[in-house]
Amino acid sequence: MIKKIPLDQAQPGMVLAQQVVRDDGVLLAKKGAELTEGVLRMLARLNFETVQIEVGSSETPEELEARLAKEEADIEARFVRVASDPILTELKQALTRRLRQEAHGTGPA
Amino acid sequence: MEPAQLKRNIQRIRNLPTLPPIVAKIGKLVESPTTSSADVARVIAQDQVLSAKILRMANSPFFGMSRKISSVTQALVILGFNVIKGLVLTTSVFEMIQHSIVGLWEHSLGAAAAARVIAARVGEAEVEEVSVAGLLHDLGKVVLTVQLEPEVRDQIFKLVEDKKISFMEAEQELLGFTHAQVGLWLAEHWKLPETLAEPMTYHHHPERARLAPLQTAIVHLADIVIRARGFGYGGDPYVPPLSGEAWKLLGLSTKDFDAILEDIEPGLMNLADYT
Repeated sequence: MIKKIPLDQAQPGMVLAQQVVRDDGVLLAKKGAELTEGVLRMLARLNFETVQIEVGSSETPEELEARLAKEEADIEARFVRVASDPILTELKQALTRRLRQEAHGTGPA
Repeated sequence: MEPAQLKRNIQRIRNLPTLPPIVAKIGKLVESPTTSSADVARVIAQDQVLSAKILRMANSPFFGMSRKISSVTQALVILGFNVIKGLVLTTSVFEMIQHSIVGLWEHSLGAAAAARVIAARVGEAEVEEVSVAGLLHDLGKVVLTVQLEPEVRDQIFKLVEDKKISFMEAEQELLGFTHAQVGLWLAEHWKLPETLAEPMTYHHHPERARLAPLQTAIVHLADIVIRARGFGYGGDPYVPPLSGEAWKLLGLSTKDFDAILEDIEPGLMNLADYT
């Protein structure tokens, strides 16, 4: 799955899901390349705000399911004081739906 | 709480933080009907750091401008006096926000992003102004936590945790008043327009807004949506109750939630660069 993240959250070792090209077309980093301290510094200097990275590739289906279950439990906990409100229950369901869609790569990247 | 202690708490908070003189100067200028954008821009331009910060905020993703705003005058013309006044205020209290509650700045930015998306969806014309109202909605909480004695502040946090209640309920129980009241004092003290003042004061009770009910209802829902999404921290981990009246006024359907959540996301992603 591909995820777009702010540059300051990018870490060395993450894998680029898309090539990084400067405004004038010069290729700065190839798709599939591993991010290094040097590449990150360069992107920061050139005012890049986000990078697209590969995530979840190291996550087994069991780990994915465990993470989703935890995130669903977190959502549930936030709604605990408004559980009887039918409108907010729809909001909660929309959030859960989103979570599942993103995890299965059918949502927006 | 003993009356003497209550009085002391109120006095501490009512002794409101002084803002840089330039904020008052701009506030006064904006009030006068004969003031032009150029007049205000001239005052702001005297402070280079402030000018740079305003341009940075004006060009940030949550205003979503299609072209770059390159001068303060241009920012004033495009965004309006109230938005610029709100931004000047935000930059002035930014440090205070950082020292109040961990995550409150992110909560404020998130609420601004959500308010923007909801405003556009309900067809409110002043999208930028509502966004700034979202940014400022919890200023009462900022001032309250910064001005109170640290022990009293910690008691509020402890009460939230022990009793599993909202920050506002803990304020009410411990102090006898809440950040909404402080928001009202601030708005009066800083002479904020009602479109910013009422969301600050009534975002938990939007049905009480008289002068800016729609803006207040938008910020009310923005606060709920961003807490539900889980971005930043507003003093407690709970999604606050929805006002039926505000919901009716907004004219949204629950089917809108998917699109609202989707539209907020890009704004949140980029906000990290501006904090």
